[in-house]
Amino acid sequence: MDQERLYELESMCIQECPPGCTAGCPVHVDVRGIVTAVRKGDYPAGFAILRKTVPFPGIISRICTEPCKNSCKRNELDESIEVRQLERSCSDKCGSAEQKILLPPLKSQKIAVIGAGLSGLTVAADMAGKGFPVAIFEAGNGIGGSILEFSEEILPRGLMESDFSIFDKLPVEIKLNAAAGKDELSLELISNEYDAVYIGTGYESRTAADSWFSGTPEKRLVIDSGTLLTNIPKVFAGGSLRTGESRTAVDSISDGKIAANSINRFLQNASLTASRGKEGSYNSILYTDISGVKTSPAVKAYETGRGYSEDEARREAERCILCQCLECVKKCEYLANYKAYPKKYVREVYNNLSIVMGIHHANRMINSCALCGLCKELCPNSLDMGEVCIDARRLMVDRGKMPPSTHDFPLRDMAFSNSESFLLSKHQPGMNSSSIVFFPGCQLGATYPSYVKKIYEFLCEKTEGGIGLMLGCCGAPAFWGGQQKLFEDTISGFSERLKSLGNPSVVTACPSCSYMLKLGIPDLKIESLWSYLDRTGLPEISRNGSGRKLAVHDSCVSRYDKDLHESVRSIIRKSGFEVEELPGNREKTTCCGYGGLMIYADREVARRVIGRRINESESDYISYCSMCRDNFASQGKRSYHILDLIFSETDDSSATMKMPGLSQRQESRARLKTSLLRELWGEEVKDELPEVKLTIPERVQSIMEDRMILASDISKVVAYAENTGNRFKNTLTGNYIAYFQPQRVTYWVEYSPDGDSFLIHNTYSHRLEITD
Amino acid sequence: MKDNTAQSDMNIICVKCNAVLTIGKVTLAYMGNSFPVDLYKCPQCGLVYIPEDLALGKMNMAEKALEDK
Amino acid sequence: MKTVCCRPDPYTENRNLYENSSFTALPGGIRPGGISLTEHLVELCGFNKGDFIADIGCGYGLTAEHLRRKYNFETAGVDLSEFLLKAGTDRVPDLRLIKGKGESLPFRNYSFNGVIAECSLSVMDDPAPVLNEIFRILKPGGKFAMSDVCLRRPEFAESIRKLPLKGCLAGAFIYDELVSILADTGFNLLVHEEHSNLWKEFVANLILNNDYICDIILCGCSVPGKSSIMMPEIVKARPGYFSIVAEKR
Repeated sequence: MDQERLYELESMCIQECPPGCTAGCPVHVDVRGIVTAVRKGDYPAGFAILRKTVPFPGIISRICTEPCKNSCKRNELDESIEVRQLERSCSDKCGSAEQKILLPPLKSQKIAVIGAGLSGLTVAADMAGKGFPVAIFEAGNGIGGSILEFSEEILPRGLMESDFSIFDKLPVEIKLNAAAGKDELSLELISNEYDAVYIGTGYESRTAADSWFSGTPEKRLVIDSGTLLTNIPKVFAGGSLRTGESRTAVDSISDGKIAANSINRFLQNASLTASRGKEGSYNSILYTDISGVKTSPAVKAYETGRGYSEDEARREAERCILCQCLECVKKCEYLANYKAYPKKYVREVYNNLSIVMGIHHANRMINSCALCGLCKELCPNSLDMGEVCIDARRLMVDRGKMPPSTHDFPLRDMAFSNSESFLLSKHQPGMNSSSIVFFPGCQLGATYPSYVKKIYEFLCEKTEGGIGLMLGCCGAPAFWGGQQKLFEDTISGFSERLKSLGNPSVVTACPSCSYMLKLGIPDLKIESLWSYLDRTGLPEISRNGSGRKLAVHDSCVSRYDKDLHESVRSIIRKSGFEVEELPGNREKTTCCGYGGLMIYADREVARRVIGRRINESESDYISYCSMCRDNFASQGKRSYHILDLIFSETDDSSATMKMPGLSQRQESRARLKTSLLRELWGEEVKDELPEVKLTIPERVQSIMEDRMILASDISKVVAYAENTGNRFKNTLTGNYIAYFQPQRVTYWVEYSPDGDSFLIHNTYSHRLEITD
Repeated sequence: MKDNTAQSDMNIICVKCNAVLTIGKVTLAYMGNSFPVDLYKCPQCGLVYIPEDLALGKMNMAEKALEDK
Repeated sequence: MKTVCCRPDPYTENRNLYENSSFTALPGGIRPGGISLTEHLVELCGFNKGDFIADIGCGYGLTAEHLRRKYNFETAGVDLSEFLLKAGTDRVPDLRLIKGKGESLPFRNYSFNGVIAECSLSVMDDPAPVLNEIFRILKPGGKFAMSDVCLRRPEFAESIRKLPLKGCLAGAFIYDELVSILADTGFNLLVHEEHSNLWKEFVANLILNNDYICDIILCGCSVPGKSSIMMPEIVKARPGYFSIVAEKR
């Protein structure tokens, strides 16, 4: 990921864009901040926010024309927030409090401000606050300019004086009755004496200004609208002199701030135009979902012309939506986990990658994304954190920076599934070509080995031209783990085996296999088992749904597979159940916690992902991916695999069946292969030992349940011990003790002969291997 | 690897060799790591004995440590 | 299974942790990766024959001895424990093993081409002054190589530090903190490697073979036979192991 792509991705996340009100405000008052403060009753905080942006908060809170209201999201619902009233509440409560000003050392450059209207006063307050001595030349006998025209009722003079008392504390000299423009106050003389000049004499003075300053009425004063620099060197101008009769207080303050910024740059010989950021009013691109926001009209002050009571202010503040996007974060436990939003995450991921050495802080963030694509689907700009994370994973793998422990388990599991223990590719028994090949995937074989056999037998009966069988792993763990090379090798291994069967089209049972195979082999002829069955007919069994509702969970890898979504729903209905749609499904479905190997990188986040999903409906769930089903069941959610419907096993035991452990999963796969070879193809498979007859007391059965040891495991141990004689004897009890390691797990059994069977006393297992 | 069973309490014999077990070096392996460990085994045929408390206790703990992701 | 009856009982010895017979009895020294990680680190540093190398926290001098023999370095070891130093010089009388604290190393400025500290900074109170000292005794361009325990989930560091643990885990590093101390001290980070797999192997080995150290370091328990689980706080904080080579600027 290069720097440019990073910026592109970063800019796609709009969470940091200001809300409409702030963007629409010419001086960008932080309305959300004020609202939040008022909600808490923290008026001093609200007032501080207002004063930070507006030098004369008392005045503005009385006479602002509130351009912010035009872009308030509430406008789309009912009425915009009464921003000025909230500002007034802050100002009325705190405006008279003593303001502490920390002045920087006085600077040598001086500024002249001509005209003591709001724009000029803003320039004066801003520049003097930076330490520049300011002289204000005002033709009249008071300051404030056109706002003096407001009635006492609307704008109390005391309030004005209080706002303007700031000048007592600043290096500002106010020269009243000092009409600039002629004699000893000619612009020429003033600009000789001062380092920069600001003219804010109001729109009435426009004609006069042109002639005063240019010396000739033909040559007009030209003001650059971006910088407010005029066509006279070091002279700036703004306010209603520029904007005309339609002046508003907040526009004048805005001009004053823009001019102050320019003058400051000018005095430091900096560029007037470079990276000025956004000044003045503009439209924000922040997206905010307002569905579900209740309507409520704006709170009116109890008495017209009066400010809000505290209760009224709080109620009005409560109406504010506090606009923000967070569309993705709201729906994704993973994104929510890091307490920020993708713009920040993208930056963190990039920083993480650019550290050549060093433990990488964001490793866990990079590795625990489900890569499910929900954020992209929800984002107004389609930013995909999955793209960021998978790129980062690949880069980490390429550079040898991927902690091997992160994906160790799933990669080993994949290696097992693509080893001789599970790999298989064969034509249908008794045939030597295949029109289709069935690829059930590794996880279905691990959780539901018996279903794989049943459905394959069914497919064999009905498929013309023969249906082959391929067992193995599609490479998903490699893909998710960022092991691109390994993924490609896995896919090409699959391709070769497919070729050896004559390149038939593929029917998959697992949505992840479909996704990976399509990704790896773009021209592959592939169909999901579910649409195949829906199209060609389900096994003839009695349907038992009797109208019961099942909530269908779409797997995240099948997000955009509409055909699959429909087929699955059709099968559920055909089985006599009613389909319930979860709030987020189809293209807006969420991951079950397994995608992207999230569950290995951050079990806790995965647990929360599962927890959120299973609480979306009271109904039993149904999934068409065994990992999804197993994950839901792991937290006690009753859930079925769609094959449970087909094979009529929709009772309690299949809804609550616990996910088999890793070793059990591998064991099941290995056994599936052996039993298929033996039972369908009639092949001799060596490693199976003669079965022995067992007597297992209830006490031992519950131990087996706890320790996830199967009777067939025990039978293998006993058979092995009896055949080889490799066993111990406890001289106190007379019981035999023996062990055997059929696959990964070593099983121990304590037993004694009991007539023609063996009585089991105890069993336990471990995974550390005895190697000698 | 030790537990609280003293050697004199050893009441497990190898049936094949009819021998009382003794302590010896055994290599245990897991996930690409291997460890020499002192365990009871048959002094003649080398058959290794792992008692239940060891399998469910220390060995389980070691497995967990090695599986730490 | 009590195996040897004449060995001292580690639980009742009255010695400091690293002087305990459970440690001194271990053939390869007690640290993840053992001597092969040391060799790997030294090779990363690219030292030359005859270079002066100091080992901070040398114990009874196994590393100092090995590096001298294998690479012909001029080695010196520093440790706080007179007991261990004596055990070392009793074994190899001409080894330079000197008593000293990490915070005031008994060497002149600019006297070493390399300093190594393996799993020793984490058992000292505060790494910053020790790193200052290491910086001081290194020649300009000299290399500092260390391996140590870190917490891969730093947010759980607080809970680890409250545990009644002894040894390296109690002082396990938060990597970012260490890196900024190194930079503040004046080191340039040259190499970072994560060796958490070695840590896991080390821990598994302790669990299986060394009840005492396992109890003390991992289970926060000094009563024999009481511990069977690693403290959950430790599991959460996900200890790992790393190596760093840094250069004196």
